[in-house]
Amino acid sequence: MKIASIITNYKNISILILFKGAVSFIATLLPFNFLRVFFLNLIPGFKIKKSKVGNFNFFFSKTIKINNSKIGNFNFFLVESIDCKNHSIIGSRNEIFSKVNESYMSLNKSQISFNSFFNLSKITMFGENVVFGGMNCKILTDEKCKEKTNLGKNIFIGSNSIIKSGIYINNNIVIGAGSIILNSIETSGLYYSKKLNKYEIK
Amino acid sequence: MRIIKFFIILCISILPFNYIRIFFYNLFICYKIDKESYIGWLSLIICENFKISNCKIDKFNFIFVNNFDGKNSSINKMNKFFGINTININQSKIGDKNKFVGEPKISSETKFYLGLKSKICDNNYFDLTRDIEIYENCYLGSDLQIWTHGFNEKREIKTKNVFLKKGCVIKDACLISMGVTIGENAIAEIGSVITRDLDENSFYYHELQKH
Repeated sequence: MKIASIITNYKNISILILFKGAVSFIATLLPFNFLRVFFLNLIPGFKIKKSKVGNFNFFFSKTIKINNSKIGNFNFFLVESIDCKNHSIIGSRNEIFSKVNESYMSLNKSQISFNSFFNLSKITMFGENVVFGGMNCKILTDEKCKEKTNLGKNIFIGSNSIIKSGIYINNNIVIGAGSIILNSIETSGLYYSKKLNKYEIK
Repeated sequence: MRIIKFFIILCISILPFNYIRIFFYNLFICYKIDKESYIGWLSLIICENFKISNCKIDKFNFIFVNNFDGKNSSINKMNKFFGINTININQSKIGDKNKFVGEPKISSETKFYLGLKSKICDNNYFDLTRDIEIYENCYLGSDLQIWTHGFNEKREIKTKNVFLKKGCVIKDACLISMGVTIGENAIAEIGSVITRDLDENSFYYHELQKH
């Protein structure tokens, strides 16, 4: 899946970004954390401070700023600029990419946990304390979508849930597992989209 | 001491034939493995007490458990068992690529029980911060998730056990959240999200809605 998304998109990606991705993959093969961070900081446009970066990561991006945060193993990034602050966590085996030019993603004290698949539009902002829990969370786009996705503060999103991009979600919202969100949410509370029906066997 | 034990187990698991591997496991690390059982190539088993009879454990399994007890059952390739206290398997089958993950920081006495003649298919995820008990004649499909921990509205961790009782069938891509007990002979359709208890002898499904 990860290799296929490079092969199908190779005409849109410039040679400089491809080269940066290859060098960052080689740098994350190294054994210790300080070695990985030192060699990643040598790449122009990459700034990593006081943070941990795991093994086997691809960074196909122009500029990266990572402060005080953790990144796990086997991640794949194809976003032009990434901004992580304030104890934000990206787990392992995530696949985050966007096919739009000049795409931008920012995390602030928030968490993306395991095996999630993000296909982002141009601008995505995660506010404070946004948690994608569990595994297999997805954010999907249309090609026509030009609005920015904006998640507020204190949001928990359960596992297996799917979000359409270009959406605004307000503060203090809990979204149950396995739910599908197509419209923006204004009032705070608990939301879920699947309801079980019962049928007795005689 | 742990590093030496790990190194010995890695050396044993590379050895070519089955009876040689079983002989060295019993000799050096004091496991109790029957002569009729089979342990595949490069499956790392690091336990304190390991006891199987007439079992088949295939290639590339990783088992890091305190106590493992198995009878007449089979485990396929590429499964991972992490951080669990006791595992008890009796005359049942486990497929490929399953993950059984516990967290010893929260509770160090977790237990996983699989009853008689029950079957687990491929690519499932079992979260074992608390116990999961699966009784006789159950069938679990593939791509399942079973969670035993969750979060409060104030983001405090809550943990509860999960029980699946006799003869229940859970089909593919279901999700079971914490504290759920599923009654006898209950059936959950494909892709259902189960957040409350299911009654006996009943069939559960999600309905398509037309606008």
